[in-house]
Amino acid sequence: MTDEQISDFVDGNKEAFDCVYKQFAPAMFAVCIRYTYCKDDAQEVLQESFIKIYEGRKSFDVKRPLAPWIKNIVIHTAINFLKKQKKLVLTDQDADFNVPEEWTYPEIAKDDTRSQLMAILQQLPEGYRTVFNLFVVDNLSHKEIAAYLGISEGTSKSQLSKAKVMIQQLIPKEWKDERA
Amino acid sequence: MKEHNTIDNMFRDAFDGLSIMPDASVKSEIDARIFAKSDKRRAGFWLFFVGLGVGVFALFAGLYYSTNVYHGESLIGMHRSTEFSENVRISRDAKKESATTSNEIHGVPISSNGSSTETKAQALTQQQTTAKENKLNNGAPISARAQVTQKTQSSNVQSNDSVDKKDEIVGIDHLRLRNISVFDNDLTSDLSIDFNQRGSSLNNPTVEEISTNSHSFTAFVNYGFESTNSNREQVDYNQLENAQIQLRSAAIKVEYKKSFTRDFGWNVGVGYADHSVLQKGRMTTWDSVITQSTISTLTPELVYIPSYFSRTTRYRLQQIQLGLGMTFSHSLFQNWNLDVSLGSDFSLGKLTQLDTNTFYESPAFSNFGMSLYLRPAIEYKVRKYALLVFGQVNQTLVSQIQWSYIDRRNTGFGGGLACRYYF
Repeated sequence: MTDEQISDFVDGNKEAFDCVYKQFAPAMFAVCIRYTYCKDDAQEVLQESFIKIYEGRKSFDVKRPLAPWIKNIVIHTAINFLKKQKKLVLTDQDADFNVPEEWTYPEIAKDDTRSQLMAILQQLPEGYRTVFNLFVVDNLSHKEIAAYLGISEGTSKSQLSKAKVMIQQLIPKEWKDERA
Repeated sequence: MKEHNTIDNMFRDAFDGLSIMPDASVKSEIDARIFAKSDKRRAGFWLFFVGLGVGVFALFAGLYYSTNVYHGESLIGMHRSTEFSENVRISRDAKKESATTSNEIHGVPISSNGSSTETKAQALTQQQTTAKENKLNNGAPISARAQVTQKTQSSNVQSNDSVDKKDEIVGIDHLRLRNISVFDNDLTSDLSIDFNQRGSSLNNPTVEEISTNSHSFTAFVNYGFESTNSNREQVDYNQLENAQIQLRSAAIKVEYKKSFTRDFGWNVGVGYADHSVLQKGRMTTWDSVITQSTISTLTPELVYIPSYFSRTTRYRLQQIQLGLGMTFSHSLFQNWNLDVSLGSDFSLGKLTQLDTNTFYESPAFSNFGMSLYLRPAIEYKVRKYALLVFGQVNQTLVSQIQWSYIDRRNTGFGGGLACRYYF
């Protein structure tokens, strides 16, 4: 996006907002999928995120890059969504696997590695999955995760550790061998 | 540890640069939420003022026409009323004229088809002649008034011989005599009462009669709309629920109306209403978001951005209503009335459809409700029947569905058609 388009977006221009959506929506939808359970939830989070992006556009500093700012809002919206749905429970107690739900993403081929990893993520309890996503995929530190989720750094670390143990049980052995 | 790093890299590689196109409906919904909102508000704003303007215009137009009618000569309603008016004037003239010639004669015969005053004067002269002849023939004075009354009473049965003889002698027809009788009464009693008496005797009610002592049944069918927004402030709330409540109501009602003066009456009605309630719930949270940074850097600068979650929930409410009210009826011009009712509807009802699949707050419900209504209507009469087109303004005072974030419901607007039968 050009600086002029970003400036127009901040001014509330609809066409500029359309450009922002066109450029960032597919990547952000993938982020939403990682944090939610089904396509409907992912789309709802994406929708709320872009509304929030539009309404919070004045707070964006045009000298800074747009992508991290948008991603930040999307992740935050997803976490809030999970909190509202009362699905995000972060405790130090061990949790069970989620029952895998029916695959609701026709856009992703079911036999693709990505889709299989996505399916593994969906089997993780919500707390584990969120911390894993934030730390591993989105590169946040435990300090940042603690600030995001309102938990202690220790809780964040323990959730991540338990998430990795669970993932190891779910990942086929041949994948790990291939990687090694 | 090495295994953990392998897993981390596997996920990073898999999701890095992953893009999946969302459904097109997401964008259209975003546009509708962001950009259609302001247009909708503007349209509502103008519609409100256009409606208000039309209402004020209708009110003044009604007052203007009704003032003209009552200050003018014309009477309201059917064609016969004009005829009555003419007859009254004639009989008054006749009284003056007859008073100068004879103290015993108090009327003038006129034909029912409205013949000229000259003809009526001739008939009067004939009566006077008859009176004189009676005086001469019978040797005793006979009051023309008594004679005429006597003839009127016997005109249909033809039982009084003396009257028959007088008819033969003088040649006054029965129709004329009956008219004399009528206007003799006019001059000795209140004119308006005579209208009613005559109207009743002819079994052809005037509009005056209808509007003074009438009973009527009216069947109403109407449709209404109400929209109420909660406006709870975010102050002191981290998480706040607001909503827009939309009610679409279809109702039928049967109403009995009794007039106790010419213009005023009371009414009582029973009805059934079906309300479709749409709760557009909206949860707002103010989230702190890092202002600027890459994801991996935590900065102390935070901004607060509202986060909205919305969900639409439907309810259906069915009510039995009992209405009590006052009606003001005012004639605008021939066959047209302005009919304004003000009253209360007391309702008993139940929720027949409740969507519990929501994390938003469900409203409380009570079995009893009450609302005020104002119902201006234009009525067109055809004999005992009337067709009404009405608007309706409703204000709910006791709501059967109560949302904690809505203190007072907005006014609802509607309208419909009604048929009325007078008896």
